[in-house]
Amino acid sequence: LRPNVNRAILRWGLSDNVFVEVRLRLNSLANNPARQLVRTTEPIDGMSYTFGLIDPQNRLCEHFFRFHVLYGQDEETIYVVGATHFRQIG
Amino acid sequence: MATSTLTLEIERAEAGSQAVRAWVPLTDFAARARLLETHIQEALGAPARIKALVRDVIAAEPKDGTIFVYLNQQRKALIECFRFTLDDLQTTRDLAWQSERLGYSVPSLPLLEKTFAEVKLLEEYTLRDWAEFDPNAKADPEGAIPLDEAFREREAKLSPELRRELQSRLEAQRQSGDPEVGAVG
Repeated sequence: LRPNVNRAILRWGLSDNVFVEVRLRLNSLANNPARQLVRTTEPIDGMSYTFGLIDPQNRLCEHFFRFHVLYGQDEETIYVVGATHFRQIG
Repeated sequence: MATSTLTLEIERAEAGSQAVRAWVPLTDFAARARLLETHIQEALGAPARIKALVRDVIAAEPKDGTIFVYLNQQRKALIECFRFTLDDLQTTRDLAWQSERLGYSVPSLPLLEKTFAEVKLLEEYTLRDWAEFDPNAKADPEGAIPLDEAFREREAKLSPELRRELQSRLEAQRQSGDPEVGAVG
């Protein structure tokens, strides 16, 4: 993770349950990136990793996560360089 | 499309705000209280309209590789939409309180207060963590934090039960090599 992404995720103030799901999703991305990434095009080139989940403590709240991912020069390491989170209620 | 709906919502809020401001010189306070009441009735629908907009924005996410550009554009449009909507609600609220102080009741004022608070909360839920994507982001290894290290402190704060659950599901992912194992929803 780029430090800005790490800081952002920690700043989101996710509940423990939602944080655990995000942690697991990022781990699954690391395990098998090719299966889950979607290519993006100019002007924001790279790959996107997106998912949503329902807040287990508030079923009316849905969280959406969008990550900007780039492959390193070794073409194996992936870097999460951007991240955003928004919520929808009701 | 979400963008055109957003534009309409911004225009609606902007027009509402300007219309309310234009009432200020009105000297017939009873008429103004009635106008405010009518305007409030429409303003009470703002949270539902904004929720529908956010739903539309998510539903219309493109699958052609332009998602980050789209999200950056929608973020800007939603910021404007919230700004105009809150401005409209606040102006109406201020005038309604003024009217009350002058002895001309605006019966829906308490509902307007509730609506204002609801839209503020929606704004926070929608935009607080919605960062702009950077077209110049680089895959720079310097300073990058491996995933296993990135959340150590955060994971240490989890309850023992949740920490165990996380570890066991991470282990299941490792063993199966299947990213879906242990994933929810």
